[in-house]
Amino acid sequence: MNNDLNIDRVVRQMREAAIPKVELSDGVMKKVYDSHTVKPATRVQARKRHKMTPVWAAMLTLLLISATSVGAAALFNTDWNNVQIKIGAYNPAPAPETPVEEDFDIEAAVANAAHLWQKVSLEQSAIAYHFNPLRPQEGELALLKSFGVIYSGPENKTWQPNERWLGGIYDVFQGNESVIVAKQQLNTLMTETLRDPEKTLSYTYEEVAWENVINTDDTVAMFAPTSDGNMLEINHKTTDLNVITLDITGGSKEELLAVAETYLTK
Amino acid sequence: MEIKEHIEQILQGNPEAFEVIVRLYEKKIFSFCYFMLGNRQEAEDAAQEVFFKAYRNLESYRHESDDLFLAWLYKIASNHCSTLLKRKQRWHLLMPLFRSDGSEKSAEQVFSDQTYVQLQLLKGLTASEREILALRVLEDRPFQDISAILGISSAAIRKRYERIKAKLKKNQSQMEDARYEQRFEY
Repeated sequence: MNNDLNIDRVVRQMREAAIPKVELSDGVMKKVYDSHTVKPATRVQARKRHKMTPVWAAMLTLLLISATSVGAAALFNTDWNNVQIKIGAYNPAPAPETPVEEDFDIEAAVANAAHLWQKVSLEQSAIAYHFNPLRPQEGELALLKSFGVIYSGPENKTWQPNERWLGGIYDVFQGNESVIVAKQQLNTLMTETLRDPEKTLSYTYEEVAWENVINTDDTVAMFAPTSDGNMLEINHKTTDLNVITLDITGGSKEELLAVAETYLTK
Repeated sequence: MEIKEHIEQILQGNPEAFEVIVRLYEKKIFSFCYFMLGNRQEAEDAAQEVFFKAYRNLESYRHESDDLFLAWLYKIASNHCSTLLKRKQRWHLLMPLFRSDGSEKSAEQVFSDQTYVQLQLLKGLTASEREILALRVLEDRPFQDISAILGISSAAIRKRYERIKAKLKKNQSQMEDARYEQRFEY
């Protein structure tokens, strides 16, 4: 048999070989959503976008004036455990009109989407998310409840733009005027970067007036007032070299910092 | 909707739009990884990682055409699989110390598993040779396209392809000899 023809037949057979069928999108999208707390600049910008009320717009304008007078030197830029973290310029112009979720209630949201989400114990969520969650010490604000939310929907679900990723581990505290919610997730990208010195990651906070409130070797925290409440985002390096992102929302700046302190006290 | 629009949506903060891209290219990228790695589970994990890397690097990607986007995905897949293969080779140096006879495939299994037999033909091919073959075989890409994806001149690709065919030929004849011996033993 002619050898070239023979090998062409083999190549043709390879082309026709029954490569197994796979469904990758669920696994990929899970990674994408798990990484949601770490965002390249534009993603941060999009996620932190809020409807601007006139009061906030006025305040932000004032902040802009003070910011421009201080100049670029005031912008925060640091290398935190191999992650470049900076505060970019914020946009004082009113953001596009998007519906604001008043008093977002995570438990109600989970109950309303019970076909997709399941409320579970802390222990179950720690297993599901593969990390030991940070636990708050006793502080001035009472811890009302703690629970996890895990995805239990179909693997091939197509997500709609208005659907929200609810997965995470939640602690709910009683604030002075409202409940304060602390949500934590394993920050996979920051964890990878922390563990692998060859990797680098850049992380920019922008759109609203972010302020760096904690910057130590194991914790970096950014605070921002937004039109639908204050927001404190903490990235904390644990002793087992994980980075956990803790988003605390719902109270005054002092209250959010008080809650944060309960997690960071050693 | 075009790929470009999906990419813009993702960069504007809608990660959901990435699912469409994954669904569109998952078969091609998985097949490429399967060809490179020769193992279904490893290929599945690798293909997922390839898409995730693409997602993380979308900001640095400048879209010119859907074809070039696929080429970009292949480039990520090729780098990722090459790294995995190198790691695997290092591991294989230690393998004889740990391998037990029980883990070997039976002759019957090997003989009946057509895909496995075909992938066995790739034995001895380097990572870059597998890349060329995968793009040529799976994608039926002209040498010029493969050259653009891998950043090697098309003349060099052509030469390497001839060398790959020679290796395949050798592997095929060795496998046929082995099959004959197996049949003879029955």
